[in-house]
Amino acid sequence: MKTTIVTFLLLNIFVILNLPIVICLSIAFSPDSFLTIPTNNWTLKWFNDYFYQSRWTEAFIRSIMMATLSTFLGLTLGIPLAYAMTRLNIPLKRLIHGTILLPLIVPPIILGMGTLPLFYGIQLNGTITEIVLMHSCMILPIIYLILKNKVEHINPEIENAAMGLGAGIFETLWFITLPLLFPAIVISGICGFAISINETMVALFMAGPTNETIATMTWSQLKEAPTPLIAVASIINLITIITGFVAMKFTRITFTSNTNRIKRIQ
Amino acid sequence: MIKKLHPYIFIIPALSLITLTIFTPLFLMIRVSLLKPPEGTGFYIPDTLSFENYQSIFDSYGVSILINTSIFALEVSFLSMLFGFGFAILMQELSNFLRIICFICLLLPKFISPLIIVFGLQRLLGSHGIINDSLIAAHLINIPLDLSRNHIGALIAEMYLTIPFVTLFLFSELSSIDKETLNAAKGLGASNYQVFRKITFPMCIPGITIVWQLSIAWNLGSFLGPLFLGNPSNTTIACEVYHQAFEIGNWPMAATWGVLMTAIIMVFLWLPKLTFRFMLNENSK
Repeated sequence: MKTTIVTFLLLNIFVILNLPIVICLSIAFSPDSFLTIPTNNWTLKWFNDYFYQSRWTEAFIRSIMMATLSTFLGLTLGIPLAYAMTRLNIPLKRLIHGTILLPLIVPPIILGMGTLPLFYGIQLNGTITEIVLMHSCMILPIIYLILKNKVEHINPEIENAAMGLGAGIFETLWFITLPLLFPAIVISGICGFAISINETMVALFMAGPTNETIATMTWSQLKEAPTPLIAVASIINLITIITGFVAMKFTRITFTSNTNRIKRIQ
Repeated sequence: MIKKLHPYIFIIPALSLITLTIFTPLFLMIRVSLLKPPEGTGFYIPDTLSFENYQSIFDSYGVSILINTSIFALEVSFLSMLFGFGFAILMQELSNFLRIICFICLLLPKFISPLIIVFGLQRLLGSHGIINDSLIAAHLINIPLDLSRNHIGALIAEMYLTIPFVTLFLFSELSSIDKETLNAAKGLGASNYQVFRKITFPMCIPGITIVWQLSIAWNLGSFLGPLFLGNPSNTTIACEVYHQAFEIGNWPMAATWGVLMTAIIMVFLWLPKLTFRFMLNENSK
């Protein structure tokens, strides 16, 4: 009896927590342009509008490109970092750990305000480069935390065995450690991608009128006159993230067949 | 053998990125805050040095914004911690299947732009929003309730953005407690309340400190809630930074607010550490 009540309560609470999202997403199917929740006439005409307006599609492609680049940069920097922080002897480890987690604590508005004069000074303002740099910095701590947790669970004896059998350091890292880390890399990559594509504040400060992303488009619509297109945009973003996740799952199955081989040895 | 590899090759790239994107901007922001505000065109007058921004910030308006921001952040963090801790404790009791559903519900807001959540809340809470319309249709009230465009609206919006994160973190913290300890305490005759008071809560204190620090740092920079669901009398520092930088175009003033915000965050990060350390010492006695 008690558990039923607890379950009921919890489910209610979580439904309430997601209610604004459901409401907002259902507006995408509304037939008229004021923002009403559709009752019986569900249409897809706003999706049609979205794909016919080059401003939205260009912003979408730019957002995807930006998120992919910053995830890639974050992973290239984060994988060696997480590995080194768990396995190697590094002086001032606690200080470095704190420094890496700093982007989690600093509010994005300070990052935006601080970098505005910086990139203005080096003539980079309004380009994609600065957004990519800022976003990869913001997702670095998350990638680092997920991967560090995973590296701690890999048995170092496997690497030692590979090197004892004559593999070099980089061969060991490439053929043994990376395949074992792959699931965690996928998860952290997806998290980074989702954060980067939904990030509003820094993009608002960085993106000029020539480099609009989905987030800044949504922002300007919300400030002036919101249309159902913002709901459509966020549904398409969500679909992209889920597709990316599923696609990565499949590549993992085909691409890293030797992960399973190593696991069997383990 | 791997230990022979020079560790700095792995670390220097990431640290240089963080230096470029966090430390340089922070120092630059301090420098910009010492410039003179623009006259006419431009964002600032280059090569000037004055403290007049800091002097002009501490008038009655500036102080009221500072107090507003601090109280607002404390309120949001406290309420979110309360709800999050409750959810996390309840989630411990659930079966695996329901727990996965709860995780999906908690993760969904993190995969959707916060703008969308705020927009949905506007639809939900506005004077012609769903809650008011359905209450009026049910003849429970005659005049719409004031839920948006005031303090309550801003509070609800920021709580929506904070609760998922707090719940997830506290859940993992609670799961790491050894169940045998709790069973042992119960076997020795402790009531549920006593178990919570003497064992569960003290064991969670390190985790609670971290979550509290993170959520207070985020909510000191709360922006979307006060802007879209609050009214002008409860604006926060972040709104003021945005206003100064984009709507007025006065970068030195915006940078001054930014420096002030960083200072307040540092103060608030140190305070809970001290209090919780004190509590921890009390409990270990």
